[in-house]
Amino acid sequence: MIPDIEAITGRWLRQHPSMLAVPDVRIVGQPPSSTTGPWVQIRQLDAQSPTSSRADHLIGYLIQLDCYASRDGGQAQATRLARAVRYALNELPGVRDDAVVCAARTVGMLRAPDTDLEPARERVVLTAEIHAHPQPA
Amino acid sequence: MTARFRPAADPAAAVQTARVRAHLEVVAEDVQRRAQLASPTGTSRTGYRGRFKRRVTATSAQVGNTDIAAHLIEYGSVNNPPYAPLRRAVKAAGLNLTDRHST
Repeated sequence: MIPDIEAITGRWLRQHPSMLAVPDVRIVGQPPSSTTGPWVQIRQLDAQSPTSSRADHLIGYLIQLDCYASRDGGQAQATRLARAVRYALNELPGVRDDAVVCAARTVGMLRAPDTDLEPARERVVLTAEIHAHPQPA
Repeated sequence: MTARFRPAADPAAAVQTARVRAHLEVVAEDVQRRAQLASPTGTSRTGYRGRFKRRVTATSAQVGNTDIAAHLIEYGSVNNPPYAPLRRAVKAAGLNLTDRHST
């Protein structure tokens, strides 16, 4: 089966030194029950198989990582968190769990405060392309 | 038989041809169609799906959406998932995605 890129990315970020240096950050797949502290939410947008191949093997994933500041954090905290995530993503290629990550590239980094929270919460939205396939048996 | 490459005297002018513009039109239309397919369904035909816009010049093409909630549909929020129709459309069309923003 194709790799679970959200799980792989989440596990990678949770143990990466650049993320461990950010106090109290949570790496999640759903919005946290408490939005007081900072968090990074990982969401898969797409997973494409190359049209030139009949095998569903090497997959081009498109993921979004929302880097939220804490309630009192502000813009500086959100951008610092996003830069730490981006740095960690850059080191993701390699054998990860039961998959091989061939490439990881940040293709977008947008500062977009989330106005659905009151007051509006500083957020940086990272878009990343990741190519991965299952580890050979 | 051999051929020699001769660079154009004015490369910028060389690409500003009707053929290039026609190709950009085709690509932009493809991206817009894919973005519409990737958009969330709604009850109104004049909502987000009906507010895509294209602009093609001699050397570039743009596809966007004028809906007031377009940013929410593209990037989501704490309460809404990111449908990412434009980003997904660019990838599905086989183009290289770079997520930059302009007003």
